Amino acid sequence: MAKNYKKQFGQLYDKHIGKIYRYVFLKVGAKEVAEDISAEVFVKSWKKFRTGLEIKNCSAYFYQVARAEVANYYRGGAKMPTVGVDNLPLIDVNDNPEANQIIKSDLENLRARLNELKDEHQDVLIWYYLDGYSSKEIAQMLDKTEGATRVIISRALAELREKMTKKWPETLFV
Amino acid sequence: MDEKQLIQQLKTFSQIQPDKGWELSLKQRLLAQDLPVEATEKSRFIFTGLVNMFSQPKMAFASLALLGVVVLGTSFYFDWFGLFQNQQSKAMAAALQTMESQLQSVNQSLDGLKTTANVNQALSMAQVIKSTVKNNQQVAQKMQASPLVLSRSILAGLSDVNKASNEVVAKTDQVQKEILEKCFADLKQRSLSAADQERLNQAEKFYNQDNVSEAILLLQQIGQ
Repeated sequence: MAKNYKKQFGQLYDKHIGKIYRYVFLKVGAKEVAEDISAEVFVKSWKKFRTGLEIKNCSAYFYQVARAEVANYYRGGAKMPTVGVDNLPLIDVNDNPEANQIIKSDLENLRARLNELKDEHQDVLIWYYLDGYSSKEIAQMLDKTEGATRVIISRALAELREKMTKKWPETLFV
Repeated sequence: MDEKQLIQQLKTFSQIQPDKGWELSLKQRLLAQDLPVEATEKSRFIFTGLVNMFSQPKMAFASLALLGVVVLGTSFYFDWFGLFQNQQSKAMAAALQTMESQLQSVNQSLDGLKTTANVNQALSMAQVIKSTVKNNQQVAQKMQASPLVLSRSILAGLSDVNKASNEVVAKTDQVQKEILEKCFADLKQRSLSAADQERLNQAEKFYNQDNVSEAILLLQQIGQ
């Protein structure tokens, strides 16, 4: 029985670790903090999982725990950091360092604006555009209808776009 | 900025990935949170407390180092015969070196247990550390005593692990003693129920007889 739990959890871990790490990193902006919080998410989830209690929606559960851990982190007095552009862990897509710096600067700005949205809006944008969840899957995670979820995604994107346009009218991507 | 550009920018974030090394090491640590087959029932019970303590920032470092010791030690249980079959002793020597430095890390962080607010958890943690380190030490000693020929580097590694293990056990004993004596002094000043008073008296008797694990079990029942 124990071996099955390990195998199952191992598979869930492989499927979600990247997503949870990215989710947390986008909210805390620091690699070491993201690692600590992500580790905490999986420690707590494993603890629950190995008791044999049924978790209906594992994806939703992991994000729920991640959200709580991030909230705890900020409740503990941490401030929203500005990630130095060199610390944004993105792959350089071309050989032009100057272009890369501008891209990274724009992306850090995007990350900061994303964090200004309310939690639900941040979540749906991350899940839909980064993690590749369908609106149906997101609806299940939010416990809402698919129609309502599509509206939320659309509103979240519009809100983010408005923030981006207001703050950085001269960004490279306008 | 139009929507298409914004979505394109958002999607760039999908490149944010965790360190592969960190990812694998975390998975290993998580799924290794079970005692080796030969562990006693008591140790198994106390060990589950380690999972709870993993989440406490002050003891996170000691916990991480200890889990590293457990993971390496576990691999000793299941692979040690294979060691004599293959010639890859460099890898084992390196693993032993890592284990030794993990033991040193545990040793250094033991003092932190004395200042932990949750005394019960500190005592349980100390028991787990001792039990785990002793289990690994027994395996290392079996290997040392084996009639088969081991490379010099492995023998040196085993000797270092043995020495570091002894130091951890000795330090843990000392830390445990200090925590327990503080605990006894504190409890004697409180007004306890008759049952708890009896537990305290019995715990002190066990402690004086060097039966620390029984003393701890009784102390942890006080006030429950």
